[in-house]
Amino acid sequence: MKLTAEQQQEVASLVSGTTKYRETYDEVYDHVLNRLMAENQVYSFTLVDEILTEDFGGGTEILANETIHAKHITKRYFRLFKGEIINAFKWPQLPANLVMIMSWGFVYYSTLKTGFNTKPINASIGIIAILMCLFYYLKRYYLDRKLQKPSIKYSFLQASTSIGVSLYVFMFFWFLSPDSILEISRNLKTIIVLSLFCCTSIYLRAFIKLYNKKIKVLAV
Amino acid sequence: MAVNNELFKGTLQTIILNLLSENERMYGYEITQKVKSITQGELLLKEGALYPALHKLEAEGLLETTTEVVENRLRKYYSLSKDGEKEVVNKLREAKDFIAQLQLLLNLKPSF
Repeated sequence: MKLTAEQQQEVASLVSGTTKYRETYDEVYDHVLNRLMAENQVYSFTLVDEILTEDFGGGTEILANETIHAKHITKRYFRLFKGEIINAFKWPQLPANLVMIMSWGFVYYSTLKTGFNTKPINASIGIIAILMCLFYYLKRYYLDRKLQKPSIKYSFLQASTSIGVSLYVFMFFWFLSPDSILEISRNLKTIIVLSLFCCTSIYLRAFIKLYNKKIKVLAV
Repeated sequence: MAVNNELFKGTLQTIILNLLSENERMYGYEITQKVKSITQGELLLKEGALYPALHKLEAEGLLETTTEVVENRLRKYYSLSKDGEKEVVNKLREAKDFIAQLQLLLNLKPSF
């Protein structure tokens, strides 16, 4: 059968009511339209409902599968993210990261007696962590504002971008702030700040790589 | 006579991987229709089983996906990843071995 724009809109509304994520919505909507176009029956609202129940097991089944799918996707992205972080210690990224670590090591040893002003580095780590976290909200609520449904990838994005802030806040209040809970020596504070900077740098670059390769594109 | 769908549940992943190795990329509905046409309607691949299987293979990194706008709607295409290309060989070998064992166990003779 050939569907009018109004009928397609009706199908879209019905599918939208039974799906949580936009990736599922797109897939189910495409499937239902293909099925309807192959049918020789007259279009009706009931027919769409029948297809959803017959092919997908209805709304409850779709939502149950979405939950499983979301878990799989989040796990998969964390696995890929871990891979990107590990790549930082493999060729061709290894030399650049080694140079960075060695440079900070050199800075640390050459300022052992005079002391190293950690404030700018400390602030930059905080800013990067906050910006990463803000990026998630910018993506979800501004860049994707025209999308009617949330993406299945948001769970990973939220978790991966908020880890940095959580870790930074923890380190700041426990070790780095002038009124930190634990009082540590100036040199140890410098080591922590420089190590945090290296980790943040590797983490941020891994995130950008993964985002550009796998998340930026429309497909899951 | 229609084949009991329960019998091919365990080989669903193999079927999907094999179809995708023969076709560069396919979307969900296309896969169901392909199975229907190859088996002349004897096997009906239920979407309630197909999509979770596709999503699982995708999450395992065996499938890659791309989306395309077709007739004003988004269509999600599945294709084999590099790992998927390797896995399809293993899965087919496993299936062949299993069928051979079944033939022995059930005393079946090939119908051709």
